This record gives sequence, C-alpha cells and structure tokens, in this order.
Amino acid sequence: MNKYLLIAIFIITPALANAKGYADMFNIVYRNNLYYSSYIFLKKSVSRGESIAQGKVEKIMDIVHPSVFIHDPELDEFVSKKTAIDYAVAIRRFFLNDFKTAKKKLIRLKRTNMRVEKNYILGLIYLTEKNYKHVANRFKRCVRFASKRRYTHLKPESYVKTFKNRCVQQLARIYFANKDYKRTLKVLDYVRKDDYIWPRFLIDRAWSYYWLGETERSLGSVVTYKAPLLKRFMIPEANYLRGLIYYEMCYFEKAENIYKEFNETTWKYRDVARTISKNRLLRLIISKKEPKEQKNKFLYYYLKGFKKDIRFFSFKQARGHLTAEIKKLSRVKSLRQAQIFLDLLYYYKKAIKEDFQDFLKNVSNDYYLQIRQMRSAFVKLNLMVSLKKRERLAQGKSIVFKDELETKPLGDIPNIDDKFIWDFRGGFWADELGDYAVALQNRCVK
Amino acid sequence: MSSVSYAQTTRRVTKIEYKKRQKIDLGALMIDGQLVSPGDFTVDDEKAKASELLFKRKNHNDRLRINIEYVF
Repeated sequence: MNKYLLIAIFIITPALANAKGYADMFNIVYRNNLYYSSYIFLKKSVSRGESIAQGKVEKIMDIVHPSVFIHDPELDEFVSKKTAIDYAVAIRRFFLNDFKTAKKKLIRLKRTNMRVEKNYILGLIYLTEKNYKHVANRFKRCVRFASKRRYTHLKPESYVKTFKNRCVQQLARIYFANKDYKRTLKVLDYVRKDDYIWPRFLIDRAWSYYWLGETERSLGSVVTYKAPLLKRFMIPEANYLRGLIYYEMCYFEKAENIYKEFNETTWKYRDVARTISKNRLLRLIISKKEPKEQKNKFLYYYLKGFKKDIRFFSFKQARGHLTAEIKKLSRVKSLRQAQIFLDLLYYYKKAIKEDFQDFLKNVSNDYYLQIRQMRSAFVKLNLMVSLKKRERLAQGKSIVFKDELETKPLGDIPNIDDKFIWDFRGGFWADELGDYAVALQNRCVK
Repeated sequence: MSSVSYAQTTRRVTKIEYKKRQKIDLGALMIDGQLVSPGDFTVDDEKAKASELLFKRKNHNDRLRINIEYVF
C-alpha cells in the first residue's frame, strides 16, 4: 500500500466519518490488509449501526488476536445488543468470568467461521456448570466442525488440528471422570501420532490403561516419554505413575530408583519454575539455542513442549501482523489521526505480549505445583516401599531389592496385532510410539 | 450463747436423691457401620488402607482452571 493512500485515509477520516461513515473507512483499510486498523473502524461502524459484509467481519474476528478483544473495554458497549461482533464480545465476557453473557452470545452465533472455537468455549463453560451432557455435545461438535474447516494461511492446519485435539482431550477426560476408560481410549485414538499435541495425551492414556488393569500398556505409555523426541513432554506425573506401577507389581527397587531420579532431575530445580521472571520465560521459549546453565536448561526443555502450542503460534502470528501494520502507519505518523491509530496498535501489541507472558508464567507456576504435588505423592509411595523393607528386615532378609527387569527376545513373542515390544533401551520407532508395553511379571506373593 | 442459737436456726437439711435404675434395650440400638470381629483387623487391611492414600488420578478437575484462563 502506498504512502499517499494512507495519508488520504487519515486526512479525511474525521470528514468521512461524518459524510460517508465508518463502514466505508473500514472497507478502504480492509482492502489494504490492515486488519487490526480495520477492527477499530469495525467497532465504530457497528456502534453507529452501519452494515458491513458478514464475510469481512468474520475474517477480522478470525485474524485479530483474542487478547485484543479481552483488553478492549469499548466492547462492553455491545453487551446487551445483538451485533456483528458478538464473537469478540463473548470472548471478552468469557475472560471476565461473565460466563452467562458469553454463553448467550455464543449460542446466538449461528453462521460463523469460528464454530470450532465457539464450541470449545461453550464446552468449557458447561464444564464449569458441571453440565456434562452439554459438555460432551459441545466438544463433539467442535471435533466435527474442525474436520470441515478449511485451512487458510491465517488459520493453518496446525491451528485447526490442535484446537480439534483439545476438544478430543476434553471429551476423553469426561469419559475418564465417569470411569468409562475404554471409551476414553477410543476417543484418544482420534488423535494421530504425528500430531503436535499427541505426546500430551500419553499420560491420559496411561491412567486409562492403569484403571483398566492393563499395567503393561500403562507403563509402556509413560515409558514412551523416554524417547528422545518426546523428552520435552515428560511431566512429573508420568514418572510417578511409573513408580506406582512398579511398586504395585512389587518391583520396589525400581520404584525407589524412580523417586531418586525424580529428586535429582526435577525436584532439585523446582524453585526455578517458581521464581523465573516473565521476560526470561519469553526469551527462553523464543530462543533456539540451548542455555548453558542447568537450571535454565530444565525450563527450556519444558517450554520447548509449548512451541507448537496454539498460544505460541497465535502470539507469533499476531505480533507479525501488528509489526507490519505499525510499520506502514509509521510512515504517516506526522498526521494526528495516524498517531491515534498507532497508539492503539501499540496498545494491542503490548496486550498480546503481556497475555502471552502471563500464560508462560502460569505454565511455569503450574509446573512448580505439579512438581510439589508429585513430590508429596512420591513421599507416600516411598513410605510404602520403606514398609516393605521393614517387613523384609523382620523376616531376616536383605533390604536391598533386586528386581532387574526380565527381557525376552523379540522372536519369542507371537506375531499378533497387539504385539508388545518387550524391551526398551532408549531407542524408539516413530511408527510404534505409544504402542509400547513393558512386560512385567507380577512379583507380589499372594 | 446467742451465736449457738443462730447456728441452730439456720441449719439446712440436705436431701440426697439417687438416680433410679435405667433399663437399656440393647436390641433396639441402631449401629452404623460394618459389624466386624476382632479377627478382621489384620496387617493386610492396614496395608490396603495405606495403599489407598497413594495418589491415583480419578479426574482432571485440577487442570480445568489453566484450560479456561488460557484458551488462546
């Protein structure tokens, strides 16, 4: 877009607003791909009751980062009205915890491109209301609409698929809470192994197998995190589950060693997760180089697991758009109107950045809480192992447990569909990830 | 003399009443819980109870807050 057109827009803005209206201004700016600036005109034209083509409104709603809606108090003007920007208003109300208005607005949105997001948010609202029937329906719809949604360069396949898989995960978790573990696993199977979010589902699968009594498969699922590619997704709970299964199958030394490993690799660095600054977190997630310090490495790898997260790539995308728009507007910043626009764009950029940093801080705090929660779980588990030791002492036996895992040659296992891989020595086969099972003979004497 | 007569006029008679015998109908008593014999308290029972204290995930309610606050 050339400089003169921009100058023309901003010189005539006040005059046009009175004569032709904001809708025309919107169209000019929109044609020049200034989407965030279009959003400003969109609000003004909606406020005046001027109509704008639905397709264009949809595109703005799709492109503009939700943090802009969340931090835009001007949207409060439209809370009690039915307008074309109801999606933006609903997003703001949702984040202000006004679930009632958000729900009303979202249900009203019938023909919208944002059906995946709409159903996901409605599902979350019903989840807070504990209305599980509606929750399941909404997440199912979210999955269905995601399969129909067209991919664009603004909302690529990775975005849509990740959203779909979040809905799959929530649906699976409802069945899990209802103790329908077979259905949980069936739902989780909808997520392909080459999907970014798939490793995060391994722990969900592992617990489902655990409750079904298929401890080999459960253990296999958590052991999958040992694959070099998936290390970054390892969470303390996966380690704990490994320890728990070994304990329950009377492999006490294994359980004890996992606890020691947890203390050495995770518990030791817990305070870094709690005290790290927001700026440092942002630098760590953006950085492509591994940090030198061990404590930074610890968080770097945890954050690496979020690099393919919706929140990271929508942040990067929004930052790119805004930077480009700011650059264009800066050429005419001597004009007062352009300066007002620039200020707004800087405000949006700041809001998006701060929201993302807040998210990172929350992720890191959540990680700290997970570590603490698992530490107390591990302490209890270790206590149980100590009880076993005491029993052995009372029986005059050695307190050192020797429970080397038994390995079998692959050829000794019959070739059936569910063939288990018996041995795991740090290698992995990409196509078999998630299908591991560790063969364990229950050593408990009955 | 006067002090002796004063003491005689103010003396109180204390009556002690004993509680009458109560009859308790043991058959009509309702007891909540399971009837167990002393032999039921075994080491295995204690182990099972201790094992119940171990963390075993039953739902993901603790993950709800972070999912709601950070959708995008």
